[in-house]
Order: sequence, then C-alpha cells, then structure tokens
Amino acid sequence: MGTERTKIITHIATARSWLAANSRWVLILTLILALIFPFSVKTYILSLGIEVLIFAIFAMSLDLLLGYTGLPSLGHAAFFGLGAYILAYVSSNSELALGLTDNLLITLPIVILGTALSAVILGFLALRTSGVFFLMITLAFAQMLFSIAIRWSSVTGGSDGMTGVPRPTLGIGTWHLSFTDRADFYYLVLAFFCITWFLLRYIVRSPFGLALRGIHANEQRMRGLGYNTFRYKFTAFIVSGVIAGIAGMLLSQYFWHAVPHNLFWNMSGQALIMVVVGGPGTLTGPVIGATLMRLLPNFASTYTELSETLMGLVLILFVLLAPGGIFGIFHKKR
Amino acid sequence: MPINTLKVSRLSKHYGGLAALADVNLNARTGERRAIIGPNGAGKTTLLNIITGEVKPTEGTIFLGNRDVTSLSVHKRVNLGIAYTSQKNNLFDNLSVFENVCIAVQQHLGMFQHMLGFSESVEKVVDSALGLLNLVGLATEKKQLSSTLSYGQQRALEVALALATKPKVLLLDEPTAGMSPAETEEMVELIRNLPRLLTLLIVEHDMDVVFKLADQITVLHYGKVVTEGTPSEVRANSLVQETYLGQHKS
Ligand SMILES: Nc1ncnc2c1ncn2[C@@H]1O[C@H](COP(=O)(O)OP(=O)(O)OP(=O)(O)O)[C@@H](O)[C@H]1O
Ligand SMILES: [Mg+2]
Repeated sequence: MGTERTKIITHIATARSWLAANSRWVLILTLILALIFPFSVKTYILSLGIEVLIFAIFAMSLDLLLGYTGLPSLGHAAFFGLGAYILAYVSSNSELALGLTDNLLITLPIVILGTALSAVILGFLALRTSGVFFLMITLAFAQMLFSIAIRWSSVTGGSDGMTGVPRPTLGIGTWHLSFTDRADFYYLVLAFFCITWFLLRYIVRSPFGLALRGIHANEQRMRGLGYNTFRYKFTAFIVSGVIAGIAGMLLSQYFWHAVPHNLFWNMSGQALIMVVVGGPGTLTGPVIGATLMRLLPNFASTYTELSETLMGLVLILFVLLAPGGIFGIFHKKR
Repeated sequence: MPINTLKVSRLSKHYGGLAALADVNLNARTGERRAIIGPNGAGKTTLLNIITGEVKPTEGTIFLGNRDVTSLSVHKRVNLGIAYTSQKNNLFDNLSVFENVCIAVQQHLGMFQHMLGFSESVEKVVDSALGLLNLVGLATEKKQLSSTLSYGQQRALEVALALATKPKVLLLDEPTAGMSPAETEEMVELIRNLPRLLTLLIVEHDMDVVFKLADQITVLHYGKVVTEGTPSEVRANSLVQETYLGQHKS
C-alpha cells in the first residue's frame, strides 16, 4: 500500500513538471487538433465536440464567479437560457418570434445587451447578500425565468420552447459567411471558445483578477484596503453572465431551438459540477470538467437517474478529497 | 485643520447590557503618536474598529480633519486616509506575500485601470510593492504563500499592507504581539521611522514598546478613559502604576 502510494505520487509529480515545462506545446498541439477535428471524425463525434465547446464556454464563465471571485451562483443557467431565448426571439422564423435576422453582427450585440441587463438586475439584488442567501437568490431567479418560459406560452412557446432557430450568418454588405453546415458551425463555436478563453485569461491575470482573488480570499480585508468590493463583484457578475448568454445563444443555434430546460436548475448544477470537478479558479479545469460531463453520459448506460446520482457522488468526493479538481491534481503549484 | 488629525467625540458602544466603550473622547493631532493601553477587555480593539468603520458605534462621532466620517463605509474611510492592522492576522492566505502587497498597493488606481492594466502603472505597483517588502524585511519571502509565514512575519506583512494604502492616520492593534524580541525590536524601529506627519494610534500591551514610541498615552479601563497625557504623566498616575506598571516592573 505505502509504496504504491508513493509510486502514484511520483508519477503525478513527473506529469506535473512535464506539463509545467511544456504548457506552450500542449496548447499549440491542442489547437491544431481542434482545427483538424472536423476532418477526422464522424458527424456524431463532431456534434459532441460542438456541445463540449459550448458547455466549456458556459463553465468558464461560471469559473470567473465561483473559482476566482468565490461567488457560488446556483442560477447561472438563467443567463445561459436567456441567451438562448433572446437569440431565438430575434432570429427564429416561428410565428412567436420576430424573425428579424440571423446575422451575428446584429444578434450578438442584442444577446450581449439583453444578458448584461439581466445580470445588472440580478447582480444588484443578489450581490448585496452572501453565502446561502446568494445561492438562494440566484437559484430563485433562474427558476422564476424557467416557470415564465413554461407558463407564458404565447410568448415563449411553453414547454416546447421556441423552434425554428436558424444557424447564424455573418455579413456586411455583399460579404457574407454562413455557418449552417455543421463543420462551419464548429469553427464558429471554436472561435468563440478561443476568444472567451483568452479574454478570461487576460482578465484573471490582470490587476482586476488579482482583486477578485483577494475578494475570494478575504473580502472584509479588501474593504479594509479601500476596495469597493461590490463594484468588482458586480462587474465580474456581468461579464460572467454575458459569456454564459453567448454560450446559450450558440446552443440554441446549434439545436435549432431554445427550450425551458436551458434555464432549469439542473443546467446550473451541471455547470457547477464541471467547474468543481475540473478545477475551480483555473479556467482550463472547467474545460476538462465540461468535456467529461458531456462525454461520460454517452459512454455510460441509459440509466440517467443512476448517472445523475453518480455525478452527485463524484462532486462530493471532489469537494472533500480534491478541492483543486482534476486540473489541480496535475497542475504544478507556483 | 489638517486632515491628519483624528478626533473621536463622546463615543459609546453597547453590546447588550455591556458598555464596551462609554463616552470616550480622543484627540490626536497631526503627527502625534498615541498609545492606547488598558487591561484585556478594556475596549481598545472596539475603539479602533469603530474608527475604521468595521463596527458601528452606539453613539458618538468621528472626525478625520474636520470631516465627519461616522456614517462612511470602511472602504471610503480608507480612501480618505485611515488604515489599520487588526489584532488577529487578517491576510489573503492563499495568495503569495508579493500578491498580498500588490493588492494593497494597486488599490488607488481604481477598477478601470485594474481592468485595462496599463503597463507603466503596473510597473509602478510592482516597484512600490517590492519597496514595502524590503521595508518590512520580507523581500526574500515574496514568493511564499502568506499563510506559510511565521506569526511575526505575518504581523510585519500586515503593516506593509496598511502602509501601502498611503494612510494619513494609521491604527495598529498590538503590532508586536506574538513576535520574538528581535522581531519586536525591528518593528519598533520600523514604526519609529515612519513619516513624522503620519498620525499613529497604537494599541500595545508591551510597555517597553509603548514608552519607546508614544508621545501621548490614553489609558482605557472598562470602556472609559481613566487618564491621558505624556508618558511621564501617565507613568506618575497611581491607578496606572497599580494595574499596569506594577506587574510590568516585577
Ligand atoms: N461582538 C461583540 N459582541 C459582544 N461583546 C463584545 C464584542 N466585541 C467585544 N465585546 C466585548 O467588549 C469588551 C471590549 O473588547 P475589546 O476587544 O475592545 O477589548 P480589548 O481592550 O481590545 O482587549 P484585549 O486586550 O484582550 O485585546 C469586552 O468585554 C468584549 O468581550
Ligand atoms: Mg484587543
């Protein structure tokens, strides 16, 4: 037992230092693999890849709140679902929707504005509280939107959601790109993923990111150093909400519809598990978490009840035994 | 009136039936170094916490210069020039020593600068952070997590954080508690060499430290100011001799 244990520990240590020394190459290799991915796999796998990337964007957005700022939102699906519904409302050709345009240059700003506005409202209320109250208010907000989506069917399409959402286009004047084809849409999602990753990495490494980590570690001391911590949390909350909204937008474009389930607590819970299991406060960890969470159900049996129970157990194990998540196990600490 | 003066007027704090502070008046002129002494539970920490805004007073007012700051939040008071180190170490445990100081140094830049991170201002932050670490003797520990420092080193880091906010009035709650004699010596030197215009309130149990640093002393007892004055005046006070210096001399 003892020697086995030390063996495993040395293996992990070797992997850690190798990763630390070659992180740039790992990054480049991953990017190349991601670029050639559509040419080398079946459509079914490509679909999974798209889903994984969309959920990775969603999970990274939550990581800014949970992992860096220490704000455990239980209602992050609110923004995910809002992004999906706003996009559907603007661009779907069903009679419920406006059916204005599928041009990203118009729809994306509308999604950003809409989710930012709702993040302003929820943030203003929820960020005055902390701990359990913060959990409850964010959860309640998302569940409220969920029941509106179900009940107010003349506007939202009820439990069927809003169908007829087109894949996006991108165009100015005569120049025009379409992402209707699955592989093309994959590249669009990949682009959004990369922008999100680099943007969030820039944010968390900036002095602003340091302040967020300070708030996570000791908010009272931050105030004692002159920080108006509310403004920092508020800003992080809005950025996080907007990115989650963009992920939701992509999901509705991918599946051709926006459904109430996008707003359901289960969706918030999944994002939470992705972050915690992958490694909170690392950005890369939640990407790993999203990959596992979206892939595992495809390999596991169809007993969804059981697999959800298993997910719950895995979450508890990680919280207790590996608070740094999977990424934390293999990542060398400074 | 210059802004470095601190005036506390008719301050009271009740916890249920207990009067932690009762009608306390205190006046610290610019550049004054005032020690606050008194037995355990006298209300010293409560007084400092009310001045920083961490605790709301039941009654009374606090002036910084001629500005009434009684209703201002903690962070606004810090930006007006009040800084403190608390009695218990209160750092950012999972950040490095260097990051701890950077957080404090960068604060004045404001949130938008923090987000845009102009490189020359970031360089300035790094420079003054390193300067502060040198000042408190923690330059070689800068990469360590602050939680791995010894208790005394953490006290020193606390002082670096407080100084980083460029205060006009500095409140120190038992800065040398838990320090070795050598560390205490260094801390006293450090405090002694602070800018003369900085107004200092220092709570301290170690009477050697008090007499080395203070030019005014306030003695608190059960939430009341029993006497105040220069060190020699206070030393001559019979009550102080009984409760304090008697034990100390032995
Ligand atoms: N939050 C609180 N609730 C109830 N009573 C409190 C609270 N904080 C302080 N007290 C009481 O107020 C009195 C003054 O406490 P305070 O911490 O200010 O004393 P102190 O002079 O700093 O003592 P020490 O030398 O031990 O640090 C004590 O009797 C304490 O028990
Ligand atoms: Mg005290």
